[in-house]
Amino acid sequence: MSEPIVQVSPAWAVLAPLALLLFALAGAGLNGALVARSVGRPGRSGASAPLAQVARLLRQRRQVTVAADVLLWRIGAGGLVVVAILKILVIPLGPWTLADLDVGVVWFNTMDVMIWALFWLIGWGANSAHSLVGGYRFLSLAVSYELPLMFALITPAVAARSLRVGDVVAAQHDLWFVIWMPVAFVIFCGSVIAFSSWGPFATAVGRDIAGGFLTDVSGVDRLLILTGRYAVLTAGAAFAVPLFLGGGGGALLPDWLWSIVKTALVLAAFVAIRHRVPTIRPDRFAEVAWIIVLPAALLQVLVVAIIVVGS
Amino acid sequence: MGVTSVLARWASTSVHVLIVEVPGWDESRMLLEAELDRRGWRVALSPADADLLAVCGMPGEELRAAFDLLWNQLPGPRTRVSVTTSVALSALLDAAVAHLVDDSRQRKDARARSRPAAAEDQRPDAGEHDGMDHGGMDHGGMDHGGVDHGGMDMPMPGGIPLAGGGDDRDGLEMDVLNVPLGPVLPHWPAGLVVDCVLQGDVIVSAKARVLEAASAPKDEPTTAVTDVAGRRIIRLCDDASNLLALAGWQTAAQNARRLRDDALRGADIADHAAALDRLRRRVERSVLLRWSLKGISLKGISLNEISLKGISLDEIPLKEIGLAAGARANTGNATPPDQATVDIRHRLIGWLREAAVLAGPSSGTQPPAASDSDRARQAQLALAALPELLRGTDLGTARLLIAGLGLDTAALAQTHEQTHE
Amino acid sequence: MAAYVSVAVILGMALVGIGLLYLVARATSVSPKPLTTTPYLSGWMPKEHALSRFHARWYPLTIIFLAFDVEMLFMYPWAVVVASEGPTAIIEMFVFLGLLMVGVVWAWREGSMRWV
Repeated sequence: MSEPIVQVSPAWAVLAPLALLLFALAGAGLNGALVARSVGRPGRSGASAPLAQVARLLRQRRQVTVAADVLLWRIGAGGLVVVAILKILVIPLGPWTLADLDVGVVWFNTMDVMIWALFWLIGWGANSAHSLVGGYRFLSLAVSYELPLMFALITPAVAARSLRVGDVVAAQHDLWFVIWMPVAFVIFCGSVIAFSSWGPFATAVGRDIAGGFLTDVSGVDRLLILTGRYAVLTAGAAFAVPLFLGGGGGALLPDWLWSIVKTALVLAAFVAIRHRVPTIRPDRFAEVAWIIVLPAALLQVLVVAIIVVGS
Repeated sequence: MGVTSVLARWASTSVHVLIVEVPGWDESRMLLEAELDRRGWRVALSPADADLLAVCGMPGEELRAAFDLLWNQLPGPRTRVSVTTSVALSALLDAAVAHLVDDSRQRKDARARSRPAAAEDQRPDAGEHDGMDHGGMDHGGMDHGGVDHGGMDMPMPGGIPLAGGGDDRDGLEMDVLNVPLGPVLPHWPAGLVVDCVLQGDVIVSAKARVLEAASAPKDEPTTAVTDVAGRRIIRLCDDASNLLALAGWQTAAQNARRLRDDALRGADIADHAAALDRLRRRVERSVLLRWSLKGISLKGISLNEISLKGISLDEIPLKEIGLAAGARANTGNATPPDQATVDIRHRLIGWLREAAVLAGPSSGTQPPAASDSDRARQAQLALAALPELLRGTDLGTARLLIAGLGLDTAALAQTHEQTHE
Repeated sequence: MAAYVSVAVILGMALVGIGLLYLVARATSVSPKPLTTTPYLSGWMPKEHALSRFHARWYPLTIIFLAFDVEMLFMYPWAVVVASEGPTAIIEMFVFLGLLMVGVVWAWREGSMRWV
């Protein structure tokens, strides 16, 4: 960690979405490889599966259901990618950031709350029973993961005495936050998986309800939702880097490359966990989230606050 | 060639298949699933996600109607195949691909069906089915003098009525939906239909029946497996795989499925037993699965009647055949035998244990072959118990319970007329 | 200010990108006109519209969530100043959070976090 964070010209903003999509594609490729391995095919053959999927969905006809709420449905579908792109706005790549907002942490939080609405809208819009159940399942999960997530986000801010992401990175010059706030880090990662409706938290698109809010979506609409899920997962992985993993700090490699490497590692971990653990059902999770995880997050904030005040 | 043909070619490397199964034709389905894995194709969870509709078996009239409706829901490009024999499976799927990538043909198909399915679809059984289900809950909404529904002249957007209300368990008036589960759902017993009345995602009441096949598969063995034990292993692995998939544990479900496919191919038996036992231990050890399935049990079902005529746990000489000496201490003795079968998780573990024992080296433990009438009776009891079992559960739990029953709909379809209230 | 220009640029790009994707899909899909179909119901026609008053049985939880969520309004500014304000800020905030947690535990004991 050598250079301070600088804000770059808005012209660079053009590259950010491309970088995000490339990461998302890489994540999907890894997922495809893992799936291929699990059915006994070479992983390489699965790595290109996302491209086949894109081609498939571009070729597939879109569909609307009878008396669907099409406007809301499409807002939900398209919104995910938009939210993910807006999230990465405040995430520095090495020394450069597009928007060093003084409330960067809150910005990220705002965007992840938007996901509540988007997933629910997708579920609602289709006028389909499975889809509706999926949308509501997501909300029932969201009321459980959101508060611990908020406290996990606030913890690095307390230590950095600032909500600006650049300051949070600078504060980790000597010691990465993940070392002395591991609880917040774990909660953050779990929440990212949850708000992406991913892995053990993917009940809203579960097999038991025939794909949940994805049940009646086809063609390019489906492509947008699936891309959006990978994109928010990627954005979450990328935000873990400045928040807990010292941003671009690291030996030998330049800062920007460290940012990329760390993001890739976190994303790979998220993707790898996808099929490896059983589903955590929202109704089971609620008690645990409120009675165990939330107090743990509060204690983490308390410990950090005491250390910060004492030093 | 053009962009579209390039896309078509790429897309065809990973075809998404909606598999629909007719009772009694599970072997066709399993062979198809194994073939899909070999090709790197995916199983679709709903018609909107599917390119190919694969009908396994010869459907009876009602099933055919349901499959035709689903066929109408495939957005396109689409094609359908009928799988009734394993012989030409590969050629069949190759032909399906050729059909899918044929762009002009697919565009013609798309142009031909611009009218909504709702308008054109007149189900042959609509009248009868209506009479059965509409009696109570949903139209009960009419007599609450509706603030928002104006009684008989309620608006019908798209020709479909709005949901009516009904009291929930706390006495709140909430809308109820009639949602049929089956005959086509992922990881669902073939041909089973559970007509549910839902409030939110809770089942208020349910009725179960089984739709019939037009004919059973001809009695010639299509695979290497003909012995009773082999068939039982395949069935146990299939059931376990479905339950694991519904519990959201994909790697374990996939593991069970590969073991099933190995058995289907007639793989090396000794290896197989060890692999089954490893999977069983893995399932047993998972804290998350234990937590996730806790309290989900088939209570209220007479177990003596329903437990399949396999081998009971106590009869298995575990040590003798060198399988996991500690296994019995973990589940066998710790829980009374009743609970071991009633609890979904224990049932799952029991299935895997039984499969491992059957696959084991001392193949002296051939299960007594259950007679057709026995199997039918057991399935009938399970079907009869379903409505009570599902009442008040949410959809996720309901799916796990149904998967945990391991309902043998093929046995039922051989007798007929199975409607239970 | 440049930060918010970036926001606008990136937002515009995202929307244009999505629009372009839809245009591409119009050309590449087998039909530009969406298929109108009934929702997937295991092979049956729907008996009524799914859009209805959904029974969200976890509604007590949403109320607790709201109460706690509003508290986050104080948490953000507190995070910035706690280091400079010293121990009093910590004590005040955690007494407040502790009170909220008491409420949560009470609601838990009342069973509002179990709904199945």
